[in-house]
Amino acid sequence: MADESSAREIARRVREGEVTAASVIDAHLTRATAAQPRLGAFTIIAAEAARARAGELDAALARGEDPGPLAGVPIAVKDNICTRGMVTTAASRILAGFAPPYSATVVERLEAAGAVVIGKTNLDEFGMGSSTENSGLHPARNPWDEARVPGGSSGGSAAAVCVGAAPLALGSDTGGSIRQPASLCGVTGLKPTYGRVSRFGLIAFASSLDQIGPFARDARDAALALDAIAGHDGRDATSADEPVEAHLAALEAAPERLEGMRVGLPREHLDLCRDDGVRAAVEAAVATLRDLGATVREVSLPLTPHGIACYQVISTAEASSNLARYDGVHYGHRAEGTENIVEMMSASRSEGFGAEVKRRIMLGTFVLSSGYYDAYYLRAQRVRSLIRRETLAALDEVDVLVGPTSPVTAFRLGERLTDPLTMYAVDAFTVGANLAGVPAVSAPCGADADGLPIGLQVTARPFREIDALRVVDAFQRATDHHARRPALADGRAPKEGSRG
Amino acid sequence: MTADADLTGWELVVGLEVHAQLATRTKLFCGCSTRFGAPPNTQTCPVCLGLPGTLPVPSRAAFEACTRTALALRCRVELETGFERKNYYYPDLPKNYQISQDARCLGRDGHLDLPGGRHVTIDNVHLEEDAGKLIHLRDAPFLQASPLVPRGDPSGTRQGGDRTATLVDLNRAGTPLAEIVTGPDLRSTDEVREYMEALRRLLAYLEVCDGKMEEGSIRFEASISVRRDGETTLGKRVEVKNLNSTAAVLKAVEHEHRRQIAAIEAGQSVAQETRLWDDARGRTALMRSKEDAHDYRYFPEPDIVPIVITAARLDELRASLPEDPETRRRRFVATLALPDYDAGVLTAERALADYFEETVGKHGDAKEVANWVMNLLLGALHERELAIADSPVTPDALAALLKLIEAGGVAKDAARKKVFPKMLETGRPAAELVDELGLKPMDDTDAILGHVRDAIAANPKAAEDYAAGKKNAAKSLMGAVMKATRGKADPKTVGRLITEELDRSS
Amino acid sequence: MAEPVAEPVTDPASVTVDRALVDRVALLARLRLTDDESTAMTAHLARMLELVDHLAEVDDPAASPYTGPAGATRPLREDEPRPSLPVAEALRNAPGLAGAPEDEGAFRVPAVLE
Repeated sequence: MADESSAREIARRVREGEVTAASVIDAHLTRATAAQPRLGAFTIIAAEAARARAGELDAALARGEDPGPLAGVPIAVKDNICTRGMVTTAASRILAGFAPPYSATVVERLEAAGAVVIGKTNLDEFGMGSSTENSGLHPARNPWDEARVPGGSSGGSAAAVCVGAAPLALGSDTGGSIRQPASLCGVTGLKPTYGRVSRFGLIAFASSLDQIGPFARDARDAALALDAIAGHDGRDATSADEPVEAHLAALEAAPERLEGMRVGLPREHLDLCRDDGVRAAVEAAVATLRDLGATVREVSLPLTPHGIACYQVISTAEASSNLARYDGVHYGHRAEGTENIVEMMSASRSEGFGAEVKRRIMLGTFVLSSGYYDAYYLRAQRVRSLIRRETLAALDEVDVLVGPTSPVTAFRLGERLTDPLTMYAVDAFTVGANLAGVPAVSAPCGADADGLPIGLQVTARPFREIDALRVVDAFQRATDHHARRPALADGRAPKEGSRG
Repeated sequence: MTADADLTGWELVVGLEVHAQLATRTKLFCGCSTRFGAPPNTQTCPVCLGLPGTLPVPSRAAFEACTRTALALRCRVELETGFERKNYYYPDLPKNYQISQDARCLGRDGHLDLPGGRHVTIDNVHLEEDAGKLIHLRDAPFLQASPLVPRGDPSGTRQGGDRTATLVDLNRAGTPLAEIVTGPDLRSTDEVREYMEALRRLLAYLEVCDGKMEEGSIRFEASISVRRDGETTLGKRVEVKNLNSTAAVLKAVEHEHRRQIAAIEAGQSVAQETRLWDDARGRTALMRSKEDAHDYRYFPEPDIVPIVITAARLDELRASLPEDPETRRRRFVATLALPDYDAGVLTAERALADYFEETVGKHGDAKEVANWVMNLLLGALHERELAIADSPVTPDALAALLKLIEAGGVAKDAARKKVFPKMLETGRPAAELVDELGLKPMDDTDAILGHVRDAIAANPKAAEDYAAGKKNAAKSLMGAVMKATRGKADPKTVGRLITEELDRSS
Repeated sequence: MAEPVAEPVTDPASVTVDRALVDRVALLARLRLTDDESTAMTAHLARMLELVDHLAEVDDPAASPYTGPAGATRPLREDEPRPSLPVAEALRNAPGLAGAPEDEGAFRVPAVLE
């Protein structure tokens, strides 16, 4: 009983000639365009380019060629991932109109597998935020309640998948930017192991934490996307040279039950979660896993309360340097009417960056500056080592760690904007995976009293994405939280039907 | 203003930072060519332009060239090294940080011994990327010639009359540099010169740098201080940049030496600051920009994992090092008994020293080989604009010629004046040319004796003078005999026969 | 346009986040802050450092300050030239060029003083 709107099913039908790529793309463009005024999920919808690309795929199919495992699958790409010749802004005014002469490795790989980029999705400027309210263009909204945020920073990608504008989307995750919006929008989101997916073409926020990953409706589509984008890339010197498992095939071959799977429940994650709805949903999910045959035990990650501080120091330090290049010299926004180079750079940056980006650049510059480096940056780096050690030690005893993705469900626009620290607090359970470099998935596991989605985070050992995906896949076969759609979403498969 | 400073009683203390461009085909972090002299911004790509989302991937060739440099300078080289970011804003630096090395640099605590005996400590050797080039439109004199000036707009006035703009060429951005930093060990301009020459020679031996100063392949920065004789702490040091030739370095050191002493003697203090050398005016001036750049905010480059070299590979690189020029020079003096001067000349270039040694290997008289190479070969190659490696006379051929002379197969003078030029011209072996030119010595003593007797008969005055005790008279006969034998007779034989004949008849 | 030299503070315990510090950091970061922004930034920075100071409670001086990716990497590239961008492409996104990029050949910025 295949979900007709899944990426797997679209690719199968396109490859087998049941539908044309053009009709698939048209239907998704229609949904994306219809939802855009209400959700602001996209920065651009690339209708013309997508249709042209779909036409090429149909022509290739007509010649008997196989476009690949993602044939005709529409994909939305977070606008901090470069697409050749297509404007890429990271939702920052400082990059207004910037058209890179290259595509990110992930985009090249997806296109080589037959996928079609239908647009670029909205985000918190440069990925800095947890609500997509910090977008330099316009905020994005949550499909379950338009008065609420979709999470962030990859809020646009999460919303796009949620409403069926695309079955797959790419996001980037520096401290939770895939998993948290996946949680708040009720979709499945994967942050791979650091180094598993090439960062070439991802506009850097914090290089040692950033990782690109997919949003999907379920674990199998996420696995399909991961299969396309994972693997060593000579253009990224931090890219891992480790064998890549065929994740989708492994899920399809796996037993339905989770016998032998050892699940760890970090006590601190539940203790620090004050939202009763979230706790209840996570506890129910854990009970389901136990029912499926997994052994569940409590583990401890005592450094959890220090994750955000550690993350803030390291991510802002790297960001202050990564964002230094936006100075109005070689590309991007340049301020008018300045007399000399220092003024020109300062004015361009001050005009081009939003308030949150400036806050982070300031903190990052400070913690690296002379006299403070040891006390702040170096200390945070050492604590990071400790957090990694602690996480890996816990994962020595169990195969996966399970807990809430976000301590809260979708909050109202503006609710956390006035006090940035309340926004940062939302990342409490997600930053650990970035600091430790381990993979983690967020999948829907229920709803709160308002019907807002709740996410379950499943964390695995380095390069063991398959363990997290297996737990989520088994959970999704046993439950239907992931199939729940907001009223806004069409939810049905493209109607266009067969070709001819 | 500083010319009259009295330098006595003061000690000059100089340290040098040398940026040597590593001779790789591609830039340090991308595949762009490093070729010199290409039109502006034609050797750039998204990586060296610092476009968003691009990542640096270091070149193995540059990494190993820098490692060999560190090894040759006797540095301690760690198996695991890493890059750091050095953050400062400058429009020739596309990312506004330079990827360099700091805490985990390639080499530390090395040294270079100078021919004059100074032991110069090398504080560190590290690998980093070069910046681009700025062209200031206000600097009118070279505007007309600059390829950067838009066609048909030599004054740059098209930009709303903006003659003060600066243009940026990023061809050089990302070029690999080895930065070699000495301790404050140099005590005179002579030592500064010696160090620069010795280092340049070493880098050329290693074939890691082409050494072309005029193309910016080697650039210098000097840190200069003075102190009163006998003081043990260092004075405030002034860093001097914009030194585009060894001559500029020497002039700048000289200038700062005098300026600082004059300042202190006038009751002022020397500020720890960065100054720019102004070659046209022959003085340094305070650098106006980059004052806040002292806070470089170094931190580990997160885009590049630590580079780990295996001990085996490090051993291979160590084994691949040529004997360094100074060791070789000393060996030439000690074991080949060459004079200091000869050893210096012959080790100036690795290929020359190789040529020399190969020749000596086939003809053991080192001093004789040195004479031929220095007095004849080098001048001739220079005239023909040939490198030693392209010499038409190979070490084999030169050794064969010297052997032929030694064996009496050709007179030395004839070899020098007739055979050797012909060898250079044709590349043919000496023996063949000696035959062809009819220069084979007369080994027929009777025939030579005949010529001797003829000469004595033709010059009775000489015989009389000789008999009267003027032994020099024999020499005048020598020329006549050599002329008669067209130079083919061995001069020693001729001399002996003349003396014998004169002694007999007197 | 001489800029003040940063005076390094050596004792981190003595950090007081004030306007002077914020202004110095803003200069280093090439940000021009309005009065209001500076005031807000001063408060924000102070609160962040208060949060971050808690790291001292769990710090272990013996821990490594370097964390790389797990697993094998192949960070070095072979020395093989690859095509550069055509100059027009390199300059395509450049601001401040009046004419066609290929006619300029270079990026152009306001005067740089050395």
